[in-house]
Amino acid sequence: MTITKRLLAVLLAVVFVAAACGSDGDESSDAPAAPTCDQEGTLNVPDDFDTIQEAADKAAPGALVLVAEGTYEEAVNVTCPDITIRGIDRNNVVLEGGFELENGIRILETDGVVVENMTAQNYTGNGFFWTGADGYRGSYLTAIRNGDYGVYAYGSVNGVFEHSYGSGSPDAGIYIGQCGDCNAVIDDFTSEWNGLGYSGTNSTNVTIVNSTFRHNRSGIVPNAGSYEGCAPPINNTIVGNVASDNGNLETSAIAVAAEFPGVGIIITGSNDNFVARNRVDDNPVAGILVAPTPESDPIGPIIEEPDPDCTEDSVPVSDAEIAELPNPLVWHAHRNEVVDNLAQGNDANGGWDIMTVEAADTENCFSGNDAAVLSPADLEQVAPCGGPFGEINAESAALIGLLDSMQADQNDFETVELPDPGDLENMPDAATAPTEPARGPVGEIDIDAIEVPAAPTD
Amino acid sequence: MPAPTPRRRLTGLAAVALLAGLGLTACGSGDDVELVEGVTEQVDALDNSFAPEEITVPAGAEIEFRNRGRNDHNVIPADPDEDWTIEVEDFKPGSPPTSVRFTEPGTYDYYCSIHGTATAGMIGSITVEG
Ligand SMILES: [Cu+2]
Repeated sequence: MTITKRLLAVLLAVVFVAAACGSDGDESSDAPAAPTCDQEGTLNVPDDFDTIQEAADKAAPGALVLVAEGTYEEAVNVTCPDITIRGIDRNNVVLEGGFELENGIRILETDGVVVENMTAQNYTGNGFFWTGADGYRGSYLTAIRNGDYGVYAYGSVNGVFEHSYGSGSPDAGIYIGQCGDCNAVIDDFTSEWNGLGYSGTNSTNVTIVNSTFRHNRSGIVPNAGSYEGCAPPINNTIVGNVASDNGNLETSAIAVAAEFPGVGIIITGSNDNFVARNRVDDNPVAGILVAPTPESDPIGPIIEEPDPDCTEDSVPVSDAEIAELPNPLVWHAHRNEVVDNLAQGNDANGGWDIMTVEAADTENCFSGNDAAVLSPADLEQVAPCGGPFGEINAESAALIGLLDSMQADQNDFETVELPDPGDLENMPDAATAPTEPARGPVGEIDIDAIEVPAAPTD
Repeated sequence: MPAPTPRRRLTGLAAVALLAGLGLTACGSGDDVELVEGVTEQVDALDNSFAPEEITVPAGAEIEFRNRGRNDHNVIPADPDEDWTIEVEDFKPGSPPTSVRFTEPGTYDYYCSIHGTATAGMIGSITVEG
């Protein structure tokens, strides 16, 4: 930009600022009536209420907001607890953001809310978003082309996302973060054509099973950072998923997703995770990569163990303390167990099926994987589960070189071409199924019974 | 119905122009802006919170808003009659700080509309003392 252009920009900004400060302000208020949360039974939209928002503000605990087929240009805020908002048809109940509205349905510091069987698309922020919730569930949701995340839970605990689909988000199709004990399950989720398939910053005890993460820049990425609370992430279970064909440089992507493309599963800055029996094929950098998270401009120090009660926001340390922090701050991955995965065809571009660039003293372990190209080549001999740990000759420079070769434009989420997922599965008996406030995962998942999934056929 | 707030008058344009050159915006009443130099408070937008959530500053002090998260955020006055919004485009992660100054004592509540409403989620408050 020339100096003249910069000056012009400043002058234009001056005009804008002056106008912005001089609000005459229409002093009447169009503020909506406060939610009453007192109507039981089924609240039909649009038969009984013109908008989803009006019904959601009236619904009593246990009530059902049942949305008929149609397109709803709404950004719904939910503050009535323990309600269910359900579309009658997942593919034909469409919340439309029009690249103007920020979030399709947002649940704010409100517990027990279920959202199911509908689509949210073209929001500048998120499709479906829970923040500060204890108890949440999203089922049979479709989130397409939203500017941040598709399906998103933040600072929330005791949740389930299942039978859902997210595509076209530059950050992640699905995200669960900032929870010292998330107690969350992701089951039967398909996430494709996003920056990341799954991202979870500082999330502990998330179980990801039976899901598909493909055609993203990278697939499944639990990660650490001081800019969110509840660091570091630990004890996540990633079993029986497909994380294949990532390294798609045509997606939109935020900077960090664009910087780390081409990997099926990245265990980065994250500890004590169990990564087993996943199918991880045809990713151009690595099938499974265990690596540190280099956090630039950190606002707090490394934390060894998260507070299991944490859902709290990060608080920066003093500027003087920040100046003393390493930059980047390196969150290492420790004691992760990578076993019995099927990782093939990730070397066509010079990459690796399974790779670690962490030193042996981090005690990440690798056993029983069906993988041809390991890095280092003797990985399962020098870092077997149960030990003992030998020396790891990490190929860090080669990894950086391959990542460098795949740097590409971040692309605009509004205009990227996306696949048409077709009609996606509806929930059973949407018109009549009873409601149940969300309290977290129901029953135990039999992790041991989950096998390596078959290759996708489409 | 919230009580109507008094209309805020335009700050002197010359002062605004000078401040804008420094990346500053000035809001509040009074044609003669008494700026307090040497007092700068920072508010960080993280993902998805403001830190600190509440600050108290003398009237005319500089408040720097910085986006130190990884996501987009904005800063919207909770009182729709106030107008000192910081838009997403001007507040990208890692971009230079945006400063505001309030010359009129009072409480200025604000929020990020992506991650909160005027009363819940990503919210903050500035108390300006006379
Ligand atoms: Cu925000």
